[in-house]
Amino acid sequence: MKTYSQKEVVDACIVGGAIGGVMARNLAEGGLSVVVLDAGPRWNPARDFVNDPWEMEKKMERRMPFLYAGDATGRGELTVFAVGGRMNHWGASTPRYRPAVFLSKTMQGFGNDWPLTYDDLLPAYQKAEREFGVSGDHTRYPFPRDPFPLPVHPMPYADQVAKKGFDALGLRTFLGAHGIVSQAYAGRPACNYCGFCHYGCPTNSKANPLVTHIPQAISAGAELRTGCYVKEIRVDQSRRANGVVYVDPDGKEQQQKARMVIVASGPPLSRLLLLSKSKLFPDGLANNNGQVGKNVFGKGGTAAVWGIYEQRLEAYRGFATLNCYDFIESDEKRGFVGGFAVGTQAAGFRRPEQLIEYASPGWGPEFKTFLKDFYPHCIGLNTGESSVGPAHENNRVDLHPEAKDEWDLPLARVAMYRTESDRAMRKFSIKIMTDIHQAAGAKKIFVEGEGGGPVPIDRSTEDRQPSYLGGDCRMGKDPKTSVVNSYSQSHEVKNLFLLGVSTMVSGGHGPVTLTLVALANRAGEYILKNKRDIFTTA
Amino acid sequence: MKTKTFSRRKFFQKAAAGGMGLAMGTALSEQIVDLWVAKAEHGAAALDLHQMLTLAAIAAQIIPTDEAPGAREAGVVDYINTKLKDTPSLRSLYQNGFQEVDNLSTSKFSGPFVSLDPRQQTEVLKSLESSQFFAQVWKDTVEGFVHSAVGKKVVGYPGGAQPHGYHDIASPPKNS
Repeated sequence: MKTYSQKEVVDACIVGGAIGGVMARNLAEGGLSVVVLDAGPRWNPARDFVNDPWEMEKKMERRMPFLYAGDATGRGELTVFAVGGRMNHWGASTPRYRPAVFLSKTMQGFGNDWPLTYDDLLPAYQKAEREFGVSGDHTRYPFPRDPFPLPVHPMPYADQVAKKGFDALGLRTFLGAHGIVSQAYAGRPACNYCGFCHYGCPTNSKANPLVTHIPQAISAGAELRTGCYVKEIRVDQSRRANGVVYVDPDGKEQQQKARMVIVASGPPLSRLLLLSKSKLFPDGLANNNGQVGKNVFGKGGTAAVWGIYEQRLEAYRGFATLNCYDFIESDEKRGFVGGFAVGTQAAGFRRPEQLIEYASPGWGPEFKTFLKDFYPHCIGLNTGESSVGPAHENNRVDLHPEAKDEWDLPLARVAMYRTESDRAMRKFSIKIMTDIHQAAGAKKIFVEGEGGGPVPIDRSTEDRQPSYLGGDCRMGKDPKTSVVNSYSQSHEVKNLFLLGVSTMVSGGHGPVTLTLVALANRAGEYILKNKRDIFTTA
Repeated sequence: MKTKTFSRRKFFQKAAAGGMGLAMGTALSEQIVDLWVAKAEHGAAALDLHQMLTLAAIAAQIIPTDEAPGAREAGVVDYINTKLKDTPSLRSLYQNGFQEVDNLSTSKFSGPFVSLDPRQQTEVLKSLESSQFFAQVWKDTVEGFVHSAVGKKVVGYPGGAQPHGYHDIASPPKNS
């Protein structure tokens, strides 16, 4: 691997090796000198990923660097501090966002319009799909689109059983797009359906920048430094970022100078900006307009419902593929604003004790009867990362006044509030999923998160943690009401780029990942075309 | 090989004299005594012997042994002991909980929990089933159960599937 001395001013310093890895490949292959700093390790999947959820959870999972305030409590969601980030443990559902997402305000009446359209992002989406090896069937897809790079995966038996429930209720289904190769592709073998996607893919069949972008970036001349935790972005008198300060694996403070800085450190991106105060930016880097930490939205209406069936499903074979978009368009007659998708959830994504807890099946002889062989008879339905609706106006990200992380840096404080619409959406979607399970023949149905113990406790009035925060460094055309433009470039610091869900303008009907990869591709192309304007003077 | 200075026979004599009411030589209590000795010798016992015996009895009520193994065969007490060793913040909940269990048992049936018969034990636990202590013991018993090879088999958890993976995932499972 090529290395750069810290005395050298490299073209680009990238914070974070997940979406940052995507950018690193773009820029290195475009001829720029690149250093990527990741706080975690660079795993070798064949050696480091084993089909053992308990061991992998211990190895992989950490909490996002914030504490909740508002309606939610506790530490942020589980994330992965490693090269590849959460794409080490994701299920690789990779839908493109439909045109109405980019025009949320105009076409759906809530959220905001993005500063770019689906058509603007299409070439970047296609590139992302090719690089990930996305599988799907364009002839059986809810929206007209070009063919997928790879053929669709087979529908698992468990999904076929669940589909009977959707069919009985007149709901239309399709097999979702997945960043998991269905054939040997780009040196990665076809998926063998072990079902342990959520605990690291040992065969590299599942897409992960660790496998799809970082090695290629390194081949093209990028340097990857692991175990390096970035504390601050430095800016000089000319209002340009000129490098970062980081803690190396030995705990020593180091600096890397660069002509541009790309922040892809995971949600909330605003944390690193707020930690980087200076005379020119007293409220945080690139925050003179006060927009950093504002415009925050989550997935407050999310829900998951499990069913236990008479027949053996073995839903842990492979990953779930069934999807339904019948509820993604907002319809106020339902009693809430916004929408959600419903999909199947493979048993392999939950450890047995989690499902047992959610089912609240009592204790004693009846409990013992429940336990016997229950796991192969389960399948889940969920709205996952697809629930979207209006955000609460008081949502806010700032720095926590007291709490600090292991590097003694302030955690972020994420105030998220659940709206009435969120509550109504969750209730509505739970009814839909319950009806689907019932129509499919489930003999026991339980809601994830509402049990949580030996005996059922009515938790329906409790607020659950809203999740998947986004928007705290949002994109926009207007520099007064947004943090970056449609190329992920800061309005106030021209050689600073931000990549991640924090730049989202509105929620979309599925996981955000493919969209983030596309936005990184688009920003990378822009940077290469405009590098002379973007670089600091050497 | 360390010589055991602890005499099991002496222990049970003492225990009977002290009114612990343990049945001499029941397999479960012998298993727990052995466990406690092994842990205590290495400073790895988060619970005292009485607490471990109480925990064993509670866990056996939560996941009983019938034709299939239960909490006892799955080594749940060992699992929870390790968890408490690693998680000091849980210890006071457990210790206070054991105290409450024995208080209730004594007031209802004139003896500590371990001295009650199974039906009496069920009754005591029923009156505690909405408590935070019972919820925690239940959670940890379930966790310990599925962590064990024995428990995995009972719930039908298949374990790892590499390097062969699964084929014919579109077909019903073979042993259905």
